[in-house]
Amino acid sequence: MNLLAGTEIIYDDTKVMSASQSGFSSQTSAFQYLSNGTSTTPGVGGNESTWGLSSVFARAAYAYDDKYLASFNFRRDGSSRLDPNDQWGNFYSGSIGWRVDKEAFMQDIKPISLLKLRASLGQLGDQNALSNYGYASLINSNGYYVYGSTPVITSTIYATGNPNLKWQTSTMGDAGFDLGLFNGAFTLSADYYHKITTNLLQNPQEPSSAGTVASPAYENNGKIVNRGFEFEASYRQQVNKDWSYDVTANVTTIHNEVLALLNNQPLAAGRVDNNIFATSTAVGHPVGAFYMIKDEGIFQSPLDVLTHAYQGPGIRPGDVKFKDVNGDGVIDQNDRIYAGSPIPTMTYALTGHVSYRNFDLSLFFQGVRGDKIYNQIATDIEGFYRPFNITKKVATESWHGEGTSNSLPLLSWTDAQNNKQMSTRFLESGDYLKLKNIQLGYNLGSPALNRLKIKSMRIYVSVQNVFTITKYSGQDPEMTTSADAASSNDGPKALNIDWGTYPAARTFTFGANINF
Amino acid sequence: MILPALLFLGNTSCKKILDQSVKGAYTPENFFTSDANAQLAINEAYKYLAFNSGANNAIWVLGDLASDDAVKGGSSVGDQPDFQAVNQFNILTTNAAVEAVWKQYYNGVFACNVVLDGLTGNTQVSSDMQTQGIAQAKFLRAYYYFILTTCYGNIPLHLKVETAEESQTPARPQDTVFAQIETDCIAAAASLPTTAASLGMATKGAALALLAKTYLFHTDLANHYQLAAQTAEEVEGMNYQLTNNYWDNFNSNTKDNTEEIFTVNHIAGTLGLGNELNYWFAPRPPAPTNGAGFFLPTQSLVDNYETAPGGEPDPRLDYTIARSGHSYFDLTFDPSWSSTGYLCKKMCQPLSEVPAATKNVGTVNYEALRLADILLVDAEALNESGQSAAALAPLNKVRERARNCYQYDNTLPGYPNVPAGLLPDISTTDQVQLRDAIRKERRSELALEFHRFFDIIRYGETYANTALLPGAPDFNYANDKFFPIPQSERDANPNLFK
Repeated sequence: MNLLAGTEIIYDDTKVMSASQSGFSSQTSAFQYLSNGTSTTPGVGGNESTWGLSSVFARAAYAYDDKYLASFNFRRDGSSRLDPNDQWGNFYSGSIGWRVDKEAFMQDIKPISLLKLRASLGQLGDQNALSNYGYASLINSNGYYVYGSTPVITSTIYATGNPNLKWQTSTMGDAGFDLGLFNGAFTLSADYYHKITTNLLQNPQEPSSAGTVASPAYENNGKIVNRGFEFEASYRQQVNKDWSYDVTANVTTIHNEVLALLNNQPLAAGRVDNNIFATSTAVGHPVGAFYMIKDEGIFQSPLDVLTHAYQGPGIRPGDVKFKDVNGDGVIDQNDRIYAGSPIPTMTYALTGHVSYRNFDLSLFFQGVRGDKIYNQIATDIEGFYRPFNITKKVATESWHGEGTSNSLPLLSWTDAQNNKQMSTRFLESGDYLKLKNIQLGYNLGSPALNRLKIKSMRIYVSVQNVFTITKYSGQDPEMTTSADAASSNDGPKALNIDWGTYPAARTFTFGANINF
Repeated sequence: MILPALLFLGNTSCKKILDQSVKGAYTPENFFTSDANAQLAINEAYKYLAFNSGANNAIWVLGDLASDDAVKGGSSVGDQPDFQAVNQFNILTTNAAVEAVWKQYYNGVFACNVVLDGLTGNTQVSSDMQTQGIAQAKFLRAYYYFILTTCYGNIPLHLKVETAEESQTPARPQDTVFAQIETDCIAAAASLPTTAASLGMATKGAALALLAKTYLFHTDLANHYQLAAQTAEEVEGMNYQLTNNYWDNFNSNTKDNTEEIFTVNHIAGTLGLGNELNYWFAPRPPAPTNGAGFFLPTQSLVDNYETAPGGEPDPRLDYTIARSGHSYFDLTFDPSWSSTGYLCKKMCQPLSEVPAATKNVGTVNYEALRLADILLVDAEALNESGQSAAALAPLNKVRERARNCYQYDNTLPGYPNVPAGLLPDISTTDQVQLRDAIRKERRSELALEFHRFFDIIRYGETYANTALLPGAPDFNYANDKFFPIPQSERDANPNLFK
């Protein structure tokens, strides 16, 4: 029996003071002080913001005969970011385990060196999404206006608060086993996990008629599930004195789904153009699912245009054709569909090592499947709406007469409003498999080294990002959240929108490790 | 045994850590505790009137590019394609101008509601501040809603700062929106002073002028024409006078003039308080003006101006529009600067006033409400309510001022003599003929001041088709008399059409 109790207090106090000046007529170090600037409008700023987190927790762990394991955890957390009347949340968790391999009846089954069954269930709270005073609406200066010739400062609510916020809570259940065979030469872990997050803290878009100056209040809105399997298997073998190898593979499957939202109201996020949002988080779909009209190829003939649903004036052969999803004979935003998820349904990796005498070789593969990427940068270089650079594909393969292309529309600025509008035309599969790293090494172990007082020396050559197998046409399907997406504070509601991700560099390294 | 002890700890000694009151910002509860603070919030309520950004305050696109008075211009067809789409009535719900105007003016509504929530029932500010602040906010909210409903028709009505859930409110019939505007204007007019405390602040005259215009548009209201005429006449009875020189309304040196009823100020400097339209409307390089070349007047607008029998034009033509053979302020007009052959001069300034380097910081005011507008509201309302003879007086006042510019502006050819037969007084009392005359007059007098499209729609389908179909064959009165409510509202407001 093992008992633990504790308390944790976090107090954060951020004080900001700033001063700026420009117009320094002398750039020498003797004059690099704010007072030497000549601008008539020097800048000053200052503020303070505080928050506190207070927790108490206790843990009891129990092991009987090293075979039966159990633990219980309790924690109580309070956050100053919630309304003073309702700051606390209680969270419980527990786990059980059974070392089957230690049972007497297992002792005769020699190949099994480890078998452990385990299960856990627990809750945790989260309020990190909130800003320090998320419960209150905040007023401060917000620019200027002018009466006659006198400028004045203006103030208004710049952040809307919500006094009814509560802790976001995740409930996670996990069941699995660890298996070891042949003295650990082969190991396998398998888990099923099921995590439900409730009271999700979100700051959804408000109707624009409510004003767009104040940042919208957070609310406890929604319930999502993440569930799937995790497998990890590894095998290692010493073949003989010269040869050995090992290989480890892991696979994780993810099913992400929104189970509930306030009023079933979908949340738009992922701005790709003024007032155009690429994703919609909605019940029954993954968080941040792409939501847009569906392209159906290119109009080939006037008859094609005429017989298709109305897409607006000026549509002609060579323009992109969109699917009339609701069948009302008009293409508009009511024809948007849930067109895919930014979250891979499966991620996998494979690591292998081989060594032969003094040589060693390692490989690391990594891949994902099942996600989509909105190739926003392609709307600029293939959208043809202003005199920007265009891709070779667009320059040479665009539609220029019946039957010439069913994917790239004719090149026309006036038709760009139709052709470059957000649609599945720019949505691509994000599947990829990468050889992330390959390394070949050689250990020098000769007496010659001893004379140099070197214990050991290994020289190696290594390549990062060796190759990528993907159909994605952008720079790199391994997306990083771009500044454009991050600045909008959309979080997981706007992933996999490619504003021109700088691709991972292929790096060649030649090196030596020397131990003296 | 441990747990209760911990709970005790957690609930008492740690409580201080969690007691973090708001630092560095006010909350609505402690902000409206002084007159100085209240004034800051009132200032914000005015902010959305300004043309500091021509893209955000895109009322020029909806008010005039949608009309028969101007086409887009710019560097190419693809420069601001959404503005072109407005001109051609190929308008998606995601159109940038449709979104921009919606947000600009609803942001104004929000700022007004912050003031109204903060000052209503407030005993911590002086009663004068409370009364004046509420009256100004009500007038401004009415002004913003007037623009919103004339642009979009049936729209959500937000009358206080709302929670996220409350803000998901259905669009209300335009009749209801107009009624709210009238209620706000009447309340504001009862409290506001006749003379503005500072230039550009709301006055009783501004509230009444807006009320008169609202009545003119509010066709669902019984006697709305009588109410419009009566209210317009109340404004005319106040201390406003048409300026001798028409151009004084658009000249940065004559900002504080007798004709303006409600004016939006712009100044130079680095605070971003300039009039950016000075950049948008000026010709592009290689013209030395360094503008963006948008907003080109049409031949149809030029043809609307009358000419004297001797060939002398209505002086408002050359005040409003630059054309071949005339100057563009301090430059000689070059026809290559405009694909229509014309440039808009309103909202623009000579390089001697605003150099090319600070082109986007113009200093011309926007006359949101001026007496000539109200005189023509009066004339229209009287004629439509069967008092055609009475409509002649306000109409002819506007014409008289226009022709008499020749007496006051020594830069006009033939100064100080008014050309014979120019802009003669209208004498017909035939309702149909007079209606045409008033509409024509309104188009010339208020050209390129962002009112035309809403006038066209008010005149009805027949007039609108005649005016708009030649330039925009896709215009359809039933579908296009209002701009679509933008997608940002549709996406986040599930109750919009309930």
